[in-house]
Amino acid sequence: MKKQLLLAAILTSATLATPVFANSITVDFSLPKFSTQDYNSPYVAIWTETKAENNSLLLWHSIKRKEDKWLVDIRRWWRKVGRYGEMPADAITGATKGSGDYNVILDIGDLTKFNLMIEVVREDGGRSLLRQAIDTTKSTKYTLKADVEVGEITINVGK
Amino acid sequence: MNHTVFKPLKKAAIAIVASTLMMAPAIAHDIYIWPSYFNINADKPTHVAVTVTASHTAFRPDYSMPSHGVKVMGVDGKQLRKFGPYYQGQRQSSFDLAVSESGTYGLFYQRQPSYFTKYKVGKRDKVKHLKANKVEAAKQLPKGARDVITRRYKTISMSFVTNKAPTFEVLAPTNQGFELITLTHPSDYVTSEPIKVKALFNGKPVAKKTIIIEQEGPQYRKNPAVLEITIDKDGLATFTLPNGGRYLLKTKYEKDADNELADFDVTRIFYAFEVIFE
Repeated sequence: MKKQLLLAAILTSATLATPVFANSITVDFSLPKFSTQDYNSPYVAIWTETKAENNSLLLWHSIKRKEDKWLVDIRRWWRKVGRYGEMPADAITGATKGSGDYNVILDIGDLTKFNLMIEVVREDGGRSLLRQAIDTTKSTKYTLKADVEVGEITINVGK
Repeated sequence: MNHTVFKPLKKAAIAIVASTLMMAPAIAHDIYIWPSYFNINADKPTHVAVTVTASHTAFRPDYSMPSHGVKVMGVDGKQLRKFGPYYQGQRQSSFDLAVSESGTYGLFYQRQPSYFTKYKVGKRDKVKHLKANKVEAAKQLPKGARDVITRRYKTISMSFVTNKAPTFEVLAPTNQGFELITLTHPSDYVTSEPIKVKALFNGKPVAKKTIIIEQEGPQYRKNPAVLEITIDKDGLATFTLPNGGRYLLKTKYEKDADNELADFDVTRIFYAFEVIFE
């Protein structure tokens, strides 16, 4: 009995330390530097698409105001997810971030087979839209080539 | 000395040409209505600027149009009673569409029927036109006028604005006269995905009509990039556009007139839409 309690305590403290979801993916990516006078931190959206439904996993955008009319410019995310509902939960949204390396852990719920979509849009800049078919039962690591607005992306399942 | 004589004449000639240009647009002009934003995200009431114009070139205003032809449909598919202050300038008309609900609004411009009579006259078979219906033209036609044909023209221009999630009420056919119905929702027109439209007359499919689609900015390209397609036997046409941007679609339907004022009834449809680059 004591052992069981100890185990439960260890598990609880581990859960509190880092967000571990029932099913999660870790996405490593970078936002490149641009030497332009008109640099604005890009909007970033990561979401899942399946035949049944599409779900936001991450949304970095302008949070200065309650309403952000420019969400329409994350064009595919807007068309597939954004326009249909309320804003994603606070845990998913955040302010835009400048160039740098990022590591995010995202909750994919019960999904095992889906398309992971990544869209990066910069005002007065370019846009990248990347898609990776993911099957967590077959592979746990995926790598996507760098594009105009985003560096190489590594996706790890369950870490 | 002669110059002083010619100068006023030149000025007069220019004035005549200019006044002709400023006149109400001839029937040959395409009439368009389009919004500044086709898709928006607004929780609070907002406005979208709308341009109404008759044009020679896609999305370049040439003639203003009066307000009485404007018809705005709310997201429930019903016509809005008011659409706010309307500005009619020389080259374009505009108003600001009040958007207070989520869904798709319809912007329409319907021109009242106008009659044109075409005839040939003289030894050289010169083709001339009269802005008159068949009964009026009979009184005005010169002696020897032949091959007289009168057409009644009706024009429908349309475009759509979507706030947040798309709705379909404004896209429903009225089943009256010639209509072009979009089966793909306008806010889902994206690059390299098929767009499907249907042509109807009194609710029944219309076959073998031509649809012309032109992208904005033909004046900046080597060729105008016009797509010409034919509606199939079920009244359907499907097309895919590889470039994002604004487009104008036009089509028309001609049939024998059902009254004594014309020989043929022609309905012209002009549809302004956006293809999202995805």
